[in-house]
Amino acid sequence: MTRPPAEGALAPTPGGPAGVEKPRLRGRGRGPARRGRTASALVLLTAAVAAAAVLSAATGAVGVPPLSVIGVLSDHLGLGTLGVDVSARHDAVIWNIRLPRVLLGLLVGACLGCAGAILQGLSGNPLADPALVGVSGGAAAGAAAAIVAAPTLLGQWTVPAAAFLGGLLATSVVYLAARRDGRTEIITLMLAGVAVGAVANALVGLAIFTANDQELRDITFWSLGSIGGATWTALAAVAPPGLIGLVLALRLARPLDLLALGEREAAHLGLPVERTHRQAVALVALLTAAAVAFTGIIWFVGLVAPHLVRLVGGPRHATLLPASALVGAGTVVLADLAARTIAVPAEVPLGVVTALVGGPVFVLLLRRTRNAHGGWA
Amino acid sequence: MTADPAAGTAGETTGDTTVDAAGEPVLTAAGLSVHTSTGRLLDDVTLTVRAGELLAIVGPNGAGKSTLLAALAGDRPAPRTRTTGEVSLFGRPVGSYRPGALARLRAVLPQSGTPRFPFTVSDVVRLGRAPWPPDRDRDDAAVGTALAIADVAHLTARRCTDLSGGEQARVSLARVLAQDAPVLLLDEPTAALDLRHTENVLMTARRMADAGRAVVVVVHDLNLAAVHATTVAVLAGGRLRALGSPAEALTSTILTETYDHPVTVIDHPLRPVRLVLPGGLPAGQPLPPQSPEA
Repeated sequence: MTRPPAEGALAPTPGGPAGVEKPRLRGRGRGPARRGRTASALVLLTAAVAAAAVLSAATGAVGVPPLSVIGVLSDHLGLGTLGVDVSARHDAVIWNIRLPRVLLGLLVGACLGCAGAILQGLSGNPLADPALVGVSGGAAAGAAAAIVAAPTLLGQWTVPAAAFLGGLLATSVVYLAARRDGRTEIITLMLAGVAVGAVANALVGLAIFTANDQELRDITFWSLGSIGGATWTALAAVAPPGLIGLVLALRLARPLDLLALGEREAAHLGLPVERTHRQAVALVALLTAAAVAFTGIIWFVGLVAPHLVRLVGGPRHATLLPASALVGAGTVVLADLAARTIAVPAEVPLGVVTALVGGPVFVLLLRRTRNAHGGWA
Repeated sequence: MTADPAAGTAGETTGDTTVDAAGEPVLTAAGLSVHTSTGRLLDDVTLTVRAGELLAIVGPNGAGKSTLLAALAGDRPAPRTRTTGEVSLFGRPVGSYRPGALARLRAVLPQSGTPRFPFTVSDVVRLGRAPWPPDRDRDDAAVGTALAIADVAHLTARRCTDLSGGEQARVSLARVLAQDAPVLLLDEPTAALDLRHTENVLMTARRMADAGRAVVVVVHDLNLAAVHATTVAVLAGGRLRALGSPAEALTSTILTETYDHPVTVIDHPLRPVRLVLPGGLPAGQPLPPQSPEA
């Protein structure tokens, strides 16, 4: 590559800072311009996700015009129906059935996408999935244990609560197992996650072994994921941990950027590395456990969403974290739409749809990025 | 040599810490030892780095150079090692600083590593500003200066994962320079560089020192140490074998012993520096003219 000799570099120009050649920050370099572009990209993405949500809410056994969906929503927010003619039946279908489902799908998808982005940033590994820190396995074990042992202990909250706690517990075990002399090696964390995941899997197996037919169905369907059970109550339960987790996650953008340089480098730049590890693992656990508590395991969203975003928007976490949440949200809503429309009147498990589509998409992404930059997206 | 762009901003951006008081002790190691279960990586190292000094640490593989640099940087000790003795930065134990405050006082270039995701060069160098409160003008100035000094300004839009090893090393150097700290610790910054960029890095380091910073650099090339350093520390087996000016520390006797290989040190025929050459002199060959210390 030929270029002009960099005199400015070898022999600094007289006159100190003023004489230094104006930095040539081309393309994505400039701060304000880039921030503007990032913001408009996020707005566009939000609009697309909102459109997907409206489409999903409008589609089903009772067809509702998309405008009516917006009318119902605005009516319930106290803004009137915006001049849209909404029938009582449509109102009931949208408000009581579809909307909680769509909103739960959005929230769950956002949590999974964001958790995936955090974990991939934390581990520096674009193949990391929230399942790797044991949280999904722990949640599955908790859910299975609750289904078999005491399905009515807390009424309808039993299984979600057991799944949520199981996920957090498993991640705590993983974290403590990986901790030594006040530090956690991320690779050890991942391996401990695999081990805890295996134990959790065995516990699920044990639950299956003792289950009767109905319990067996319940366990199986839980592990395949579905947001069919969405209610306003379920949404109200998932929203606090989910939304808090999402907001806190944004604060990890700079720390995760620094960690991408390497842990030593990050420490040299003033990052309290161990505290960042702890916060990131806790957030991944919170987001994932909240996401799967009511819906069961939904594969591939946390793995693929950050990949897609990185491919288009680059690796900066200030963009990656919110965009992964948005892409995850859109993905789950569309996958749910597919899950309940491709085999009417039956409903295909959501996790089956995401895995069926996500697997091949992931392989394609991987091959594309490998051609472009040696496998690292 | 004209005014150095980076040095120009040093006084104002480093706040209370006066870096222009050349000769002040800035970084000291006192009785520093690092033990493992099987032996010592560092054995009772005592040295002082002053403002205005470019200290080159040289020595054979495994002599403890990187261990010493890491200890000077205040890195948390490696697993299963025990550190005794003390490292002080601006008069305070290096471990007593909060991470952010430490990062505003000393920048470290570890042996090369590539970012784990394809960040652009501009993003990477900008991360060097992380320790400082955001200030767009000052950040832009520091980043621009660092890009120019490390000769990577033409690469800003490139992904750092697509660069050659030498280019990556220069990007890392630019990130360290953007940090704008009064103490610079560079671990083999020239390992992947061509001749021109090697010279550029060492000349930059020397200019930083001349402008009042304290710079510590680990190098393998003894001639680089001889030409550019103000002070040379020769490490062997974790011990400080010699510490002094290049003329004092880089002698045939010391180096032959340290490297367990014959080394000849002669005066450069045209410039007032030493030349270090591997190998002894043929039998019966008279010694070339040398200054008394060699």
